[in-house]
Amino acid sequence: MKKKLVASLLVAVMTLSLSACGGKGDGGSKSSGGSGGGEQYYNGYLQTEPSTLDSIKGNDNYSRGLLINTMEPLTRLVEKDGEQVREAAGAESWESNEDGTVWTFKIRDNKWSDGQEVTAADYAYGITQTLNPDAGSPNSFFTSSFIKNGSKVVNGEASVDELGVKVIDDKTLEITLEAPTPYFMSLTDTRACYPVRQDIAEKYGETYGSEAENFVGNGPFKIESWVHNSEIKLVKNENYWDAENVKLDRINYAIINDETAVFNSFDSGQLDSCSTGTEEWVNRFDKKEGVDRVDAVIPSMRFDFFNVNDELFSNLNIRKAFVLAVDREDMAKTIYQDMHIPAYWWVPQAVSTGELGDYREQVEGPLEKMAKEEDAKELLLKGMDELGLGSDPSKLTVKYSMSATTQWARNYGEYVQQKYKEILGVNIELDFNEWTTFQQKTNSGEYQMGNMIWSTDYDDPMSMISLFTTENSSNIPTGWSNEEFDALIDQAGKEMDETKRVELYAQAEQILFDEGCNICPLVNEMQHVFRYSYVKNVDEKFTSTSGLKYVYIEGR
Amino acid sequence: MAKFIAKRIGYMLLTLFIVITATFFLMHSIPGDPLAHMARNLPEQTRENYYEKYGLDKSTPEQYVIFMKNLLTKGEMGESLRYPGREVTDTLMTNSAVSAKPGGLALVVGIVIGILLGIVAALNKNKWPDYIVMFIAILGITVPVFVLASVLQYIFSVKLMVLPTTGWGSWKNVVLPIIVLSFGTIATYARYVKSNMLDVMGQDYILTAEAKGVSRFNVVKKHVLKNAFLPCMTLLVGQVSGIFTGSFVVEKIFGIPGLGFYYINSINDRDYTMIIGTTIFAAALFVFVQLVVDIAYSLMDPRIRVK
Amino acid sequence: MLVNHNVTEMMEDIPDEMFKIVGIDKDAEAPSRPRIGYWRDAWRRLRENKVAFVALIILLILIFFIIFGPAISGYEFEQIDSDAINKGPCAEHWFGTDDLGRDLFARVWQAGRVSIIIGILGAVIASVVGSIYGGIAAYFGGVVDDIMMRIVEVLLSIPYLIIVILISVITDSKSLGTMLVALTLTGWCGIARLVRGQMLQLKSQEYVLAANALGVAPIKIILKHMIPNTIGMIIVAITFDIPGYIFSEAFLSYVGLGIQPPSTSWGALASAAQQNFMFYPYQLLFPALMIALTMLSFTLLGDGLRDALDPKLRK
Repeated sequence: MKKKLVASLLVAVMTLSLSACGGKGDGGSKSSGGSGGGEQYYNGYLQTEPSTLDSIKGNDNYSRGLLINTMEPLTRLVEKDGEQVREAAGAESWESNEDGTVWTFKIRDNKWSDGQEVTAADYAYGITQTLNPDAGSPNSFFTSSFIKNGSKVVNGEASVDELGVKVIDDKTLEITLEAPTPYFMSLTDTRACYPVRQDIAEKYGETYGSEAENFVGNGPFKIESWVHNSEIKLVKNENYWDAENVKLDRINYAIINDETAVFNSFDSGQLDSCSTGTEEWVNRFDKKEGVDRVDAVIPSMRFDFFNVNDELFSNLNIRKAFVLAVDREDMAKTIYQDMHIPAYWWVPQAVSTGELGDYREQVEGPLEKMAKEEDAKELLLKGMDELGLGSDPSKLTVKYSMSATTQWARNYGEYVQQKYKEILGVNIELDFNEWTTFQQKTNSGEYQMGNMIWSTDYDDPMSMISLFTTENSSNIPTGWSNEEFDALIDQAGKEMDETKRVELYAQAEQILFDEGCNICPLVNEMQHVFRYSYVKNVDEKFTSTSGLKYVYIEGR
Repeated sequence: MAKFIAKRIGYMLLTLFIVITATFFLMHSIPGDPLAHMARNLPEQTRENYYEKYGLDKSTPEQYVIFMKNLLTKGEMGESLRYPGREVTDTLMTNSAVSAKPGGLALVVGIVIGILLGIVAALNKNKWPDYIVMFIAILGITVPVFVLASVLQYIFSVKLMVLPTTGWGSWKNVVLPIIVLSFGTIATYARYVKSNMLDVMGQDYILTAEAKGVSRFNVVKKHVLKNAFLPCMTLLVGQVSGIFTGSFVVEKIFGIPGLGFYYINSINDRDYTMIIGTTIFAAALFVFVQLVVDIAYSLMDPRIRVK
Repeated sequence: MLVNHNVTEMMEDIPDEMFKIVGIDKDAEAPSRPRIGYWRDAWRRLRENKVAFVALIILLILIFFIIFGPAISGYEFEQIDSDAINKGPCAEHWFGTDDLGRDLFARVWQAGRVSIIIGILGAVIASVVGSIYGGIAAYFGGVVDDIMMRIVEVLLSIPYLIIVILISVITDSKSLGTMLVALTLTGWCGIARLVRGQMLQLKSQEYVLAANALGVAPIKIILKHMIPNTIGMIIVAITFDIPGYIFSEAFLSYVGLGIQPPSTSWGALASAAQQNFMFYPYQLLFPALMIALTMLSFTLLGDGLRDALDPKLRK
């Protein structure tokens, strides 16, 4: 989704995106078992107060989970019979021209929570405002490079009218792309393509989305109340076009900042589900009656990254040495208690390539081979020699910047410090930052190596691999740039043939490690969700965007 | 008296002014990007727009002048940088009201119990009631708040299931926070009251009173208590503003939507307007309570006269 | 008249030989008990207080382990062992191990070094500065008092975290020294206000008025009369402040501004253990126990000192 604070936000993110799921098997046509409306409520949680409900301005995962239930994206990615399918949602149907550059969406008859008809203009407004630099959206990256003139508009070089977004009539929306984009449809359920009511947004101005009252939605649920930093209550939206398939009457989100408090709340039944990355809690909840456990690999990476402009890390061999020195198996065991899996790749597992399925099942992790063939210590000495730094690694001190200041981060840092000392013999100076400082430091290049988490924005390897093109290099500011790599990514972006695209991605990823090694993947995240068995029909896939639409309660 | 109060109010405003000014320049001098919460780097143009909107493109002194002008002429502190569309003043009002409930009750409970325990300990010096009280007092400050809070939450919410773990709205939500928050207060007052009482009991006028045959009870009631409490009032000043600024951990663990969250997180987020807002609130409260205590002091202690 | 006359008559009747010169008794003016100063007297009375003496011994034992404990344990306090994660107390690891398999016995004592130094030094610095500041403000009163107390109010009102962040940015370190500066920079304010409150009372006491009238220098009055009479409160404040500083450091660790790893402190150990205390209570128990023991001994010692130093309780 975005960079996150290491280790702290993870849990909430997962529960939300998870609870932001639905529609398994028969798509929720099953009735709730006639046990009356009284039990049709779901108690979820957010680990941090969402910054706003405005889909244009907000970009935290917490509001993402809320919006998925209160807004109707053009499409939803729904699990059906074990497979993820793109389901018509806000758009009744869609089609593209022959070369895949013009997409026409037929907007469904639907109503906003205040009773107004949903029109193509609402979607158009949301999409264009996201790209309008005056609206200040942090989400423009989703669509800016795909929609015609998107980049120009974002950079203030073209006016909003020149965007490739056109309202043909009340129910028809036409989007023109810069070039054929094979995975364009996977962007249609991101918040960059959410509808926004222009009249409401303008009426409330700055305060749009800051309170429950200053907001309207067109999704399966509507926001009833929002006590800041305490709880958010949703109720079923009777105006919703598919209201008959929405089973839940209410959703309560408690906002709980403290992790242990979350676990205690779940343990005592005040929450219907929770996600944990701690072995002890996993074991505890495993023993609990009437609780289901769902483990899943999620498309999210924890990794280190190097500042290529730093004197030491300008050397490829040194970067390689640092990448290979990590004992990923030991790290997964010691630090993550086997809650995440060792990662020898950059594009995470659980990212699919269209019809072909999981990308990682088709392409071997580049580091697997490299780790067998090369020796970290030798590479380090070679690199030191090349830089004229002598042959004593203990004279090297590397500043390791972390993006969190939590106890967990301290522990993690101490582990890294020890291990690098043990394996490479170099000294690590730990530098703990609050997120705000970390961002500033890394963006201005005042760091040597840093640690971060990144998860996919949309379900295609492109979301991860394109982060290292010269154009996008500011996202993870390593300063690395490679023409061959750029060309491969560019080519892959237009390649409509899935097999060929996978091949291009694989080549690019190989170059990333052979020539770059500006990132050091550590673990591929997993989520461990516990849920009371009375919660039925939850869509377990991380990338799913069905929200709680099809979820129902049976036998609470 | 009126002249004294007028003078003190003048001082109060001066203090506030210095605090605001100092905080304003200090917070702008620490590194950190207030827009970092948007996580991904903003496009250049968008970032510039934000800087312009929040006035961050101007120099710190310029920003300061603008801020002071808005504060003094319109009473506005601006919009939060972290939570778009939320006025800092609204946030302060809503959340301080929340913090006041468990915090205020805990303070009252803590002071009452603390003073009672202190008296018991002082009157039974070096006997078992004294030891028990001091044990409680020591326990109260040796157990870290986050431990106490987690343990109580585990016992009452998970094991016994009699109280909710987190949340806000029902009286049940404030029971545990009050217990946790009052623990420290009890400990503090018990020890100070005991110490002060022992001090006072060694004074000549107490000896005189005892020599004249005044009963122990009356000596304590008439002379000791009042004189022993006076120094404790100074403690009150910090504690009242502490209700709002020092309850971060307890509010976090029990999910209370109070001001403690903003007081700490605004600094972490570099939410400049919110930092200044919470600071003004805490400082104003602090100097105000200080004034009240000083006035009360001079009213209660004949030896201190207001000049 | 008559009486006077008689007396004169009687005087005349007493012969000179009934008187004899006895000389000057040089010892008559000497004190009957050995002359002892204020501090020696206090020490004497402290030794007589058994509870306080026991506390002192506990403290000495703690300090012994803090100095030699890490060496006794046989483990490096920062040594990670993936095969010995979260082990309970046993023969190899007396206090068990933490979530990285590090020996807690070594860590607890290593952490004690930081905590004790921060606790004691912090409290002492704050108390000394605070007492003098509060004493001066109270003694002079008027404008001086007003200005000095406004300064305290300002310092107490500026968000503490900003100051701490600023100091660690300026010094570019999160060492013990930085922590101490950060913690004491505003830490003395509380004591200053407390001492001032107490001294305002003392100021109008007769002996202070008398000393004043006799022209004793203000600083001498503050040091000789006023501080000894507030010492009870100051000592209580110090013993309160020691755990206060230990916890402040823990809170700073909690928000990531505390002492830099691999250094650690009791507060840091305790807050690290908090999340899993239900599963590994011993990880929390030992650092918390050490804090409690330190605290307890300082309190009891403090009470003893208070009694010993209070001139009014002198026997």
